[in-house]
Amino acid sequence: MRRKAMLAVFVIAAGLTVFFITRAIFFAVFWMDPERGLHPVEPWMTPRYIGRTYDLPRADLQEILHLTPGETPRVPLEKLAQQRGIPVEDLIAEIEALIAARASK
Amino acid sequence: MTDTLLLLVSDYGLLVISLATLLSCFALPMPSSLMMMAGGAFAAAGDLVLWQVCLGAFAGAVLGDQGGYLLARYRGGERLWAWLRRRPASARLLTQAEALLARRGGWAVYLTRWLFSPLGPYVNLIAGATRMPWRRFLLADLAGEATWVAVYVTLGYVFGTQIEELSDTLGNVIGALTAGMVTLLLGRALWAQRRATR
Repeated sequence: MRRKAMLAVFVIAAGLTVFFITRAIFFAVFWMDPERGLHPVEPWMTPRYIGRTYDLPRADLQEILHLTPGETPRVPLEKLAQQRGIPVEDLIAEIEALIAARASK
Repeated sequence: MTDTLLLLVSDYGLLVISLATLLSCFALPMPSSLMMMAGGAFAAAGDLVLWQVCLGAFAGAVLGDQGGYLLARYRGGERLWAWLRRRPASARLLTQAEALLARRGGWAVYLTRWLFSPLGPYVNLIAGATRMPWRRFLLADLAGEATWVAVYVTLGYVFGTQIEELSDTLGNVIGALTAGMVTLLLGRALWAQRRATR
């Protein structure tokens, strides 16, 4: 009886191993896909993080976000949008336009 | 879900990272590795300070592990273990587990901190319940959590822009390693049993 239980757990563990390997390969392939392009800008990102990730000049970004030249607060986009009473999608669209404009240069 | 958690990291910083590593030590489903990577990525961008991210994650993880160990050791875990060991159904398996932990306990604790991390919370409880010497548990725990924090914060620092993709891939690699290790150990035990009964 105990051997049966052990065998059952063994089969489940082996199945889980295959399951996780498949998933790991799937995510790795998805990640490496060159067609996928850049990761989109998301509401949790902070001004500095965006600047570094998409290689944007600080001044341009500060202009979009209505920040003064000395300001790079650790505040996510979502909050910056809330403070100005605009939807966060608007900020994201403006930033993505800036990224696209710089990429086409 | 992931985005909400990342929003928490950018909003509250270190506190969230410490809390995530602490709670993950009690087997609560916390994406603590993703949050450590986010901490590393924010440190690279200049929003957080690298050593503070490391220290915060490390402190949370060690506190959580020690909590699990001490709870099992002084709050009834020991008695539960003794009772289970007297029951014929579980006695042999538990005696074996205890012997294994006595021989290789340091390594078991070290490796379940980072490489086989899903097993970490349970190893804490077993170590406490079987009265593994506290100093040995603490040393292996410190070394293991330091490895865990160093690996993930460094990955976040380096791969800043791709932490979500990296976390999806790596989480499954860790899952495969853990399930694979359990499969191997069980396979070995089954094989030994078969030879013994012949």
